[in-house]
Amino acid sequence: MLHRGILFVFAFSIILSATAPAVDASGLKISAAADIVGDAGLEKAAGATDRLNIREVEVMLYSPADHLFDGVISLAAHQEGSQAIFEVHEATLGSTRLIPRSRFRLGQFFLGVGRLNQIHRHDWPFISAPRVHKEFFDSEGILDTGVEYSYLLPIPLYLDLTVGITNGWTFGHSHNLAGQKKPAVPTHYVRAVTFFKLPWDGGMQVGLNYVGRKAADGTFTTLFGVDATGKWRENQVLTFLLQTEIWHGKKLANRPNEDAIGFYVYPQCSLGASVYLGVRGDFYQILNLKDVPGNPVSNSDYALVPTLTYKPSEFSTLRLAYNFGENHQAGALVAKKNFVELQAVFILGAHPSHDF
Amino acid sequence: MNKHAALGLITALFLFGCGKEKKAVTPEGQRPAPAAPAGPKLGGFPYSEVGAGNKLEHKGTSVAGNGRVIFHQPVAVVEATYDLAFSLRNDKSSLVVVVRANRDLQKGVSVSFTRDKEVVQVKLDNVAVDKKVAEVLAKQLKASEPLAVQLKVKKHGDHLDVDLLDRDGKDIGELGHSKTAGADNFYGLVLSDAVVTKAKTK
Repeated sequence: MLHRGILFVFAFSIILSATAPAVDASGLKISAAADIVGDAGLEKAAGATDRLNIREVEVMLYSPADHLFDGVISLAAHQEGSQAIFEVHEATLGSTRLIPRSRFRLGQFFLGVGRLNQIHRHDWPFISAPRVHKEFFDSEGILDTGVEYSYLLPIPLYLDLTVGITNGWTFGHSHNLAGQKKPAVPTHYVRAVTFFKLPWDGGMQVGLNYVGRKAADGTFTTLFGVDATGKWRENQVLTFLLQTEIWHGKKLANRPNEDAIGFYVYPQCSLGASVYLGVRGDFYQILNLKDVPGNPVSNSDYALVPTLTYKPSEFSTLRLAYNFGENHQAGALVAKKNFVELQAVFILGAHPSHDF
Repeated sequence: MNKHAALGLITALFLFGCGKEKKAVTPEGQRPAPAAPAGPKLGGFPYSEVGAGNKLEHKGTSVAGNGRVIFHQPVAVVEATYDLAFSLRNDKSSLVVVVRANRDLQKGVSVSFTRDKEVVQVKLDNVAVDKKVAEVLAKQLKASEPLAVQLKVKKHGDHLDVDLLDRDGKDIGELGHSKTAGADNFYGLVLSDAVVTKAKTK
């Protein structure tokens, strides 16, 4: 099944490559990316799969559709256990030219909130998602079908506002589309982002985010978050990266409410033109966790993930990470992580640029 | 001070500053521990019966008979392993493990083990497992003997990925995807002529 999915993606890529060069006269760009990830536990119950997997193969096509609109199509095959799931990641029609100071997109896309949620996983600066992201956005990100509009405010300060609304029948990764019901309030979100320069030729982007959705069963999910990304470069080399997100999530429902907070901080410095070393610190806590009789249960989940990256170009990456983490409840250790991860990423063809 | 050192120092201050702030809000281990509930325990884990009509024997080292129990401690993790040891006393005896349920052991995801003569039939959300997994199970598990398995449960969006492992944690097979991700963080057992000697999470 996996092989069929991946073969389909590759075959699709080859057919397109044969019929059109990576960048043809119409501006069509084709990109194929493979993300290979393996992990190995360093003790029993270390939280590892002890396997090397093709986590994802993705083919992306993007181009101006005409003089006003741009189109993006992204098809991905990813592995879940022994099964491969083939799906459309993104299919959008958008424009930056139709309305002054504005851009919009219509179709299916990763919601334009936060930092990790907007970047394809093979382009993340580390291998796997921190707990806070897994809890609120799943192991990759939240994608849905809808419309998103962004406006650059005409003020001296750089301030870009994004609002979006999507179907909201699902929230996060889903295999149960047939069983989903129309939400009481569809998924909606707002993001305000600014940018400022920092000493030593650095720059930082800071975003404020809100996501909301009320499911058919009345559960109202709200997420508030701040993301910040600082970069310092010397001659195109990213000498220092600081990336962080902090999120507070609430689920208001008929059953006991859920209230949780978490963050990650990832500083990374260069050890040369192609080698980078970073350490990610993760923290997650359920603020109102209770046991069956209703007593509060103290809890915390933290992890430290040193990550060594070899990235000779934007088209290939080798990465090694060590995951150490513990989850405590009522003072007792209930889960731990103690494993190493290896990642190999390669991108064939064009590579779309990311914001900052 | 060069640029790297300064940026590293600022980041370290941020990291440690955040950590200290979080600890100050809810210091680990300093919150008064909940009063130990009077009631049965299995392997040190407190639990209680759910609903009426239960006919269960609680011996501290086992729970046996017919009925429903829920463990008091929540399992608030993305991925959890449930380590089980049990016996199915008679033909058609069963044990149902309900994970990510609410306090009433409702709206969870169930994995059932039912004795069918010498074979253990396993179902996820009342759906039989894949034939290949069933064949492996038939070879590895004798329904008339004491059984020891582990369930590895991973929350993935709106569903759970459930794997079955042997007593040592080696893969037996994937049970598949559940229909929902459950309603809360609690787990429990539904016994029908069964004896459970271990049901802990790790």
